[in-house]
Amino acid sequence: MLKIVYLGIVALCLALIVVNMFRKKKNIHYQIEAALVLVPLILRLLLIK
Amino acid sequence: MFKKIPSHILSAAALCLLAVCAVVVLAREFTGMWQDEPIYPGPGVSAVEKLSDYFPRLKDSRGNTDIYVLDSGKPGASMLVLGGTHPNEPAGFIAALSLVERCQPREGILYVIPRANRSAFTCTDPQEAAPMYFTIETAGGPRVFRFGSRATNPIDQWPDREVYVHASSGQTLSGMETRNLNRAYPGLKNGNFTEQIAFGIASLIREKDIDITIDLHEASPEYPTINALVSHERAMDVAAWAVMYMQMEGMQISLEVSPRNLRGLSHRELGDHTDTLAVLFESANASQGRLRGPMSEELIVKGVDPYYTLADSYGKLYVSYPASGISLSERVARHLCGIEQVAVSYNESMYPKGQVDLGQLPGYSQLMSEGIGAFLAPPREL
Repeated sequence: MLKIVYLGIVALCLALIVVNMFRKKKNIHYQIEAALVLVPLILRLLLIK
Repeated sequence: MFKKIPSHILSAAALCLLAVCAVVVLAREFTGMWQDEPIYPGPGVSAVEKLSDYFPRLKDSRGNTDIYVLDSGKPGASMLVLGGTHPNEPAGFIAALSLVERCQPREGILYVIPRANRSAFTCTDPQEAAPMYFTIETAGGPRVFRFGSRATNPIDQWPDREVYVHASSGQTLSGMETRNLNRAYPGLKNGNFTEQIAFGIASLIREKDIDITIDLHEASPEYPTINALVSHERAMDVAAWAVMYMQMEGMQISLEVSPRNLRGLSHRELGDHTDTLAVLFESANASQGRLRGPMSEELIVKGVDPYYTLADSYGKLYVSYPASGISLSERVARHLCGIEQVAVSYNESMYPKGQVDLGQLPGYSQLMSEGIGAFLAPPREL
């Protein structure tokens, strides 16, 4: 059960980050930082460790 | 005709694509660690079983490890060798592997589990800067092996509790021990993943009525229980003779009785909960220690570490640590010699089920001079 909650939180974070990247005019540095955060989050969502 | 796409949308899309590419590359690296490297069964192997044959719940999980059966065909006693309980202690795994590839028992039956905690081979300990692999040169080329973790991969068992409560005794231990196979014995049928692996191993011992169980480990040179044979009290006669024989071969080794108040360990729980004579070997591995220099593949294989040599010169270690290091070959040689001497002393103790004769194993001095690579099968397509 805890794993499902954990994966749900990771999926929500991922979705918010991606939406925020596209949402309005953002500084490119912000977008690069967001992309770097995406990498470990996707790996965690896929349970690849 | 076409509406111009805003530049921030284009850059966000490009960066998302780059992130996905990075995930693909990294995922290939990580999932590469999930593959078992090949083991080439030697002429002594009569069957390869699975742990799920003894505890079906482990089927389709990473706990379902291979059990190599080396049946001499001649009735006698039985021995189980566990390697890879802690995959960051490679001498145990390599010693078990060399038994699978080289040993031809002449009497009795030998069971070998090279990857007792197969899940722990698929990850490394965080914050240890551990290499993912180490290489041993063999006559036919290099063989690459995983350097794993002390504990089960959190993908298979998560989260860790703050305090680990050992199931059968109620003893409390640090939460980090929740995924440690050698704190999980005798296991629990409905327990966590690691307890289920331990239960599977205990079920094998019960079902096959295994007479001797040897668990192969390593520890840091500053740890008091090092270059030692730890024995359950029922196995003390056999262990004492084995230690004496090893000392006669010039090895520095001590005998320790399994503490009654430290629960979950193989030598305590398998001895208490099954009829097997349970012992555990420890050799000195600098790559596990806190005093070591840079963590590298070379440190794992050659064991050369000037900081441990310095610590030894100040008398701060429990083993002598020469400048030439304590190589993986030496550590494996100690384990193999120990296994052989336990079998010899068991046979001399005249137990009613008969003997277990492991045949001709490479000797300690031979392994020291030629290296373990000379006794492993060369890499080939399976």
